[in-house]
Amino acid sequence: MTRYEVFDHTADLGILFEGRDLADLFETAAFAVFDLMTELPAVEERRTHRFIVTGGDREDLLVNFLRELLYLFNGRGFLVRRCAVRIDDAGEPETRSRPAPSEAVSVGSEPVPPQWRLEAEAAGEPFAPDRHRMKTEIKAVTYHGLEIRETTAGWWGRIVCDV
Amino acid sequence: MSITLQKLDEHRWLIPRSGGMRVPGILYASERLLKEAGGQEGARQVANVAHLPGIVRHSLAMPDMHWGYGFPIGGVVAFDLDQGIVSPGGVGYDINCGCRLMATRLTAEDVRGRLAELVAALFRDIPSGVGSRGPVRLSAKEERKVLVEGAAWAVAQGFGTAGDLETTEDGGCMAGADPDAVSDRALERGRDQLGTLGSGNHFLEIEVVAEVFDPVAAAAFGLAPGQLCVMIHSGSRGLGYQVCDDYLARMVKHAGKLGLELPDRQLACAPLASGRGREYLAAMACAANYAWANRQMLMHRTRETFEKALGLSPRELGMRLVYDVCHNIAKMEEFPVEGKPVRLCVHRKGATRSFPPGHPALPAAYRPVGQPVLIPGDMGAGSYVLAGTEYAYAETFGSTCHGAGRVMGRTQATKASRGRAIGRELADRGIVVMAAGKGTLREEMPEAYKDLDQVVEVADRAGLSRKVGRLRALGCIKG
Repeated sequence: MTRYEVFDHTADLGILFEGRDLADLFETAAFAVFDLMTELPAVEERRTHRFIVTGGDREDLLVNFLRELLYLFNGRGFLVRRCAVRIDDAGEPETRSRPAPSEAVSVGSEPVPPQWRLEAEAAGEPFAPDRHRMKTEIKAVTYHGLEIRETTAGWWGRIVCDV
Repeated sequence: MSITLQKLDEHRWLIPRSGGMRVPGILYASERLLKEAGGQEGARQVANVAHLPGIVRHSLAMPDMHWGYGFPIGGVVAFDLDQGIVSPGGVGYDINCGCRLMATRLTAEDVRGRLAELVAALFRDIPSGVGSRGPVRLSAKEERKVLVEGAAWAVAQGFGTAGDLETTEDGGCMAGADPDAVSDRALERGRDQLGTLGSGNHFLEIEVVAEVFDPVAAAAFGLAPGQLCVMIHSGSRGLGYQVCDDYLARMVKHAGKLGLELPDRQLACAPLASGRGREYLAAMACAANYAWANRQMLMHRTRETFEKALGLSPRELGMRLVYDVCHNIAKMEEFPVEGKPVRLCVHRKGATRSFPPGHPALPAAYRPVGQPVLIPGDMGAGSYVLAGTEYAYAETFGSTCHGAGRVMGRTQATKASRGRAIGRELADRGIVVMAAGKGTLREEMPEAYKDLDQVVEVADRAGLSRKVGRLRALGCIKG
């Protein structure tokens, strides 16, 4: 689960990460984000948050997933120690029976693009300044240079974060 | 695709139109700054921005340009109101991140020997760092007022004086703010962060006027050698980030609708004339107003801390606002295009407005000399005060640089500073620094930034803004 490394992107922070499968890749990305932000061993799994995100493609799904995780910290003050995900393949648009996310209502009668969907369970605890030392504050994830690839060994990803 | 730069003159480089570029790009830089701007990567980002519809004249990069994500940092671009777009990524996550310079009646001599005490008091009184909370928790109703009224809200609450508003860009309030365009998440994040400095490169610095280049302009700004000043660099905190992220997500989702081939998804945008474009502008104005209220509250707390720590009355301290500028913003402003004044939507991402003498947007006292332009340097480098120019108004949509600009990545800086005590090194130079984040001092080490003098020199020689004064750092608190 620790298969990630960071790379410099002038003012920003890039992360490269690997996974056995797509779900593992996403879990590694989640781990990387919180491992960079705080000293993870000090974070206990006291509570869990479940959420669902969708995306137009794998990359978009990853950004929306990490956005949601960052919101848990930035908006709710919740530090994530571990995150388990399940990903549904986009499949063919006509076979999808899932409702589109509420935000998609504004597209009116236009066809909704194929949606990737992910269910996550994030375990952790509320941020306590006296126990949790913050390292780098990751403020946002960007689409810039975003990449997800299948490799011979599994999956590989790259993302640039605003810090 | 490699990008060829044509040298126009000593400080300007042209990226000719090619491929899907609608206009050429122009980089303002010396040879050295050009190298530090990230070479091909930086130039490519300037060229990418030139692909956007309704772009007017040029895609510009200021002398402190460094490559970022989507739009370059130090990028300036203007769009036609009918054909053009607005892009959350072209404004940046920290909407209305900016600088505020306050002058006092004191001199550096007056605080000699008490600097460490003063810095410690500021560090204690001004919330900074990750997860810090401000002095007020806003009710939903009050927060909406902040988003509509900006700095005036803070003044009405007793955090400052009406005079402070006169010397804030746009009076510290952007029109068209609609809190209904701001998501519940953004509102929640804004609830308790007003009056907090933030983390990363945000700071509050005690400075002294070390050198004056233009005595007339300096006098108009109320600055004299030896005078003690305070510079604040902060923005719209989590609320601004959330607004940017919310609209970026929406615009990426509907990018296909525009029929645009974007070279980078981070450039996602919406037509200025569309509902989504207008909604973003209404939300962005809310975040801009939040940032102005934030800096106003930070200034007020600084005032109180100085008075208390030094045992001075408000009159004795005489802390007043020289000016407040934003350097991450999109604004409707009028500029001459082909001889005629045209209203455009100017995006400044890591760029400062630089309005010339006589411009009606300036306070009366500054109108003869031009708008004060505040350029902070890296930790310990101090800052510059410049003045806006006719050249900038005519050529760069009234814009100039915004800071030193990073030259080293954060991990690179952390590695390069291994074995060094950055705080101690600064102390040896007489600069007292306190930081909330453990890694902040290393990441923000002076060598991680371009040489501020060099950036300002190019801005001055190219005519983007002219040098008025140089401030030296004495003490600094960082998030």
